Order: sequence, then structure tokens, then C-alpha cells
Amino acid sequence: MTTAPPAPPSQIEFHNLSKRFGDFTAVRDLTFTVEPGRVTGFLGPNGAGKTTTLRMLLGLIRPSEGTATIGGRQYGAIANPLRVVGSALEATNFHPGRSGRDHLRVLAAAAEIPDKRVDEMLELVAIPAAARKRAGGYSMGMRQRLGLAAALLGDPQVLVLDEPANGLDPEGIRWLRGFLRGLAADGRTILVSSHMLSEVEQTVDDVVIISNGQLVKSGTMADLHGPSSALVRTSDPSRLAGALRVADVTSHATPDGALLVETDDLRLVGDVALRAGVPIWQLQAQVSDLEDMFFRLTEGQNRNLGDATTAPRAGDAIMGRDGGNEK
Amino acid sequence: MIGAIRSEIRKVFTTRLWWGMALGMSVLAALIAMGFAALLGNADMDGGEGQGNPFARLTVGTAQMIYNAGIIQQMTILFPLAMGVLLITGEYRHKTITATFLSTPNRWVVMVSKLVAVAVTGAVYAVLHAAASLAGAVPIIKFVKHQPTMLNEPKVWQSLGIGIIAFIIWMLLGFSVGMLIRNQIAAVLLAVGATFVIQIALSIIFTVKEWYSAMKWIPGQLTTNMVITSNPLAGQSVDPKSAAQYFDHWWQAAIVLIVYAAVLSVTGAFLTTRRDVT
Repeated sequence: MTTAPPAPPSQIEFHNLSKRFGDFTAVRDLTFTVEPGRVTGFLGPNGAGKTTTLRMLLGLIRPSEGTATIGGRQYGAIANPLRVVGSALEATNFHPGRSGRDHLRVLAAAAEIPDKRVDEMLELVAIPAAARKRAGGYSMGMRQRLGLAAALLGDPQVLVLDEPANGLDPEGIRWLRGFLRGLAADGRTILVSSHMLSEVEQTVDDVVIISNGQLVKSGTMADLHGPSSALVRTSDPSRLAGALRVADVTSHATPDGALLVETDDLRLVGDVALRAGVPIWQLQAQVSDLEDMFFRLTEGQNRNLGDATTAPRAGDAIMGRDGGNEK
Repeated sequence: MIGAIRSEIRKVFTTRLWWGMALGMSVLAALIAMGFAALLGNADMDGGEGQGNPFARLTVGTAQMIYNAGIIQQMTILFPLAMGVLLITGEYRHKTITATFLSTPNRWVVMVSKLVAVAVTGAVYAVLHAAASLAGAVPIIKFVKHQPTMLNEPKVWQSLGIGIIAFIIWMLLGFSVGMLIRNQIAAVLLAVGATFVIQIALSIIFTVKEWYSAMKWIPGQLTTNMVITSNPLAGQSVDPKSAAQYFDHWWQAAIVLIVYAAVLSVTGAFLTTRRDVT
């Protein structure tokens, strides 16, 4: 690590990325990397700057500062980018009068991909027949699948998907999960944005959370869960705490008189309590509430909601452009 | 580049827009050509004040007028204009421009590919327009007016050929307006409104003020100047002042019109390469 190693060919790197629209800062000094072979969730409330960030990565929006690169190169510098990066930005971006299949054929022509591949991709996302109808009548789920087919057209190593689960029914979400897991298992880099952690919780390996255009947290899903713990209710918390300390297990009293034990070994806790002669009323593994954590991380900061004490800022109107993902 | 061009051409011909517009244009072209053909030999068509009567006698120039009647009336030329606007503003309206720039991030390549697609579409429209105009006018000239159709005259075919260039330029004009305005409704209204209302207003003002030499810079006048290469008033005594409303050669008019389109389209393309796509 003495000299900077070349970036892996399919690593996505955001470096001090900022974007201002007039005096409104949509994205501020964002730095993180997205690794190959993993599904990374890019999370934040609506209007947090997710779409703007992804559009900067894809060369659609010019960053005010910083860089966003794929394998060390900016999107615009990649020859025939559809073969390197597949992306699905908004599921509404189809001409209503053009069939889904023709939409893909238009893209295929631009990337010099044979038309045969178009039909293969439609088979893969399971809409081969419907894709011959005009896109105006498609359901949200079909649009998402068509968007995914478009993203996969060039068999890219990197996938960038903006809210791919939006508008999918539970069955569709499950299908998408398996699909993305399979793609990541092939060693592809997958970046998926969502405004709902619960939507992607079981899909992603890594998470990057932003709020108001700034990085709030990034790490693996396990990091987010934090160390495991158990909740114990007993008639004598301090005695149990002492006994647990002897057994080399840390615990804390909670305000309502229970003990929070820093272990996921429930049996050990029970055995220690029996030896100490304290009765246990309740013993349960503590699962951290990710949704709650997500909310706390981004809570009270959503610039789009405003509140009674601050007048709405003029710049907020800009975020109206983000509305496309709220369909 | 070849791929990007093929992509743009596919885009044009995979929605119903192109043939819907083509159909409407062809019907209108045939009707106007029939109307013009019906005016043959009509002595009342004298423009007065030494303007001459192009329908007095069937000359090569008169045949050129009849076979390009829709263009001269500035009616059918609105179709390539509107089509040019719709081809680019549709991309913004339906947000397909995102997919376009993702597959071809170099926006100049996209713009040049679109220009090629515009040229191809314009040529297709011009050929359909010529066919429809002939289909409308020839039976009337031949069976009703019992006059020669002039289809053996090279200058008639030259005129129809120049029509292809005129259509491409008009589609390009529309395309440029669309690049500059992007809002589909606003762009169509502006392009068609400018052609229809402003041109007519300018023509009236210039005529009333007798600024005949200013007339020749109006796009519609330039287009007529292009497709009518033979004087339909040949042999008639005409006020020389009114002859000042045309350039001497069709290609001079073509160059002026191309400069208009080029200035608009380069400005539009430049802005398009700079703008964020949100």
C-alpha cells in the first residue's frame, strides 16, 4: 500500500463529490467506495441526494466538486459504457408509444449489441410477450423489469439501480432479491438506491446512508446491526449483573429495571442465573431495529419536510426534480 | 458513431408519430396540389400591380409551383418543422434522453447522430410529399385541364429534388427550436407560430412598406425561392421591384436557409452538451 494501487476494474469510487444547484447544495462532500462482488444499498430519505449522486456517477449531472469514477474512469471516458456499466434510473423513462422491445433495440443499436441479446434479456426478466406491446400500458412492475433488462443489455460488470424495488409487489421484491444476489455472486458490483431500508435489508451486504446530501453512515450490514445482545428481566438485576461479570459478560441496567446483556448466548445467561439463584421472567435475544436506527440516523434532518420554526427555503423547489422516484 | 446513428433512426421509426405525420402531410399535399392544378388558366389569379399571373399559362415554373404547392403555401412544410421539434422534445418529455446519454455519453456524438436521423427522416418526408403532390395534381392537369404534365422536363424533377433539401432544412429548424426550448408544447407552438403568424405578418409589413428586398430573407420566401427554379411569369411584364423579393439562384436561398438552421442548431447543441440531465 505504499503506492496507490490501480482501482479494481469494477470498483465505484466517490471522492469529495458535491453538487450545488444555485445556492442549494444537493450533495455535499460525499466520499465512499462500492466494492465488486457485493450488493451495496445506497440509502436515504426522499430528497437526500441519492438520485443526484447517481446521475453524477453516470455523467448526466456535472459535479460542482469532486469525482465519481468506475474502475478509476469517469463514465464519459468509458468507450461503449453500456458494456461496462448497466443502469436503471427511473422506471418511468420510456416512450409510451414505443414497445419495450423496441426501446431495448434502440439502446442495443447505440451500444452495437446484437438484437438477439434484446430477446434474451426479455426472457431473463420474464416479460418476453408483454414487451411487444407499447410501453404506455405497462405496470410499474413491468417497467422495473424492463429497466433491469435495459441495464443488463451489455452484460456489464457494474450495475447502478435507482429504487429498483419501488412499485414492486412482495413477490416482485423477492424475485429482485434473488436476481441481484445472483448477479453479485458472479462478482459484479451492484449499487442499489432505496428510501426504505426494510426494502433492501435482506438484499444488501453493505450500506451507505446519506441524509441532506451528506454521508451519515457506511459499512457492512453486520456493522449496522451492531454487537448482539439479550434482554433479561429478573427480580434482582444487580445480583445477576454481578454473577454475569464473574462469567466475563458485560451487562447494563435499563431504565425500566431490566438488564441488557452483551451476548447472544441465551443459554449462558440462563445457566449463570440458575447458579446465582435468581429467577428469570424474561430472556430474549435483542434484534436491533434497523428501521428505527435508519430513522434516527436521518431523523429530524429532512430538509424537504421543513418544520414550523423554519420557513421553507427557496432552494427546496429544486428537489421537486427528485419526485420521479416517488411514483 | 454508426451505432449511435442507427439508434437514432430506429427511434424515429419505432413510434406511430412518423407515419401519422407523414399521412397527414401527404393528404394535405395532395389536396393543395389539386387546388393549384385547378387554378390553371384562371385569369383572375393576377396579383395586380404588375405582380403577374403564374397560372395564366402552363410553364415549367407553373408546373414547379403546382407540384410543390403545399410548400409554397407554407402548409405542408409545417410537418417536417413540427416533426423536427417532436423528435427532440419527445426525448425530454418522456425522459428517454437519459437512456440516450447513458448509451452515448459524448453528447456531440448524440447530436450529430440525431442530425443524420433528422436528414434521413426529412428526405423520406420529401419523397412522400412529392409523390402525394404528383398524385393529386397530375390527374387534374391531364384529364381536367388537358395540359401537358411537364414531367418530361428536367427542371421539374430538379425542383422536386431541391424539395428534399428544403424538407431536411425545415426539419432541422424544428429540431433546433426543440433543442433550445425542450418543452414540447411551447416549442411546437413557437415553431409553428413563428412560421405561420410572424412570417405572414412580416410579408404584409414588407409588402405595404414596399421593402421587397427584405422579403427574400424570410424563411418561407427562401424556400419558395429554392423550389421554383424557373420563372412561372416568363413572358409577362412584371414590376421589376417585385422581382427583388427573390435571390437570383436557388442555391443562394438554400445557403441562407442553411445558415439559419446551422446557427440555431449549433447553439442548441452547445447548450445540450452543457446542461445537467435531471
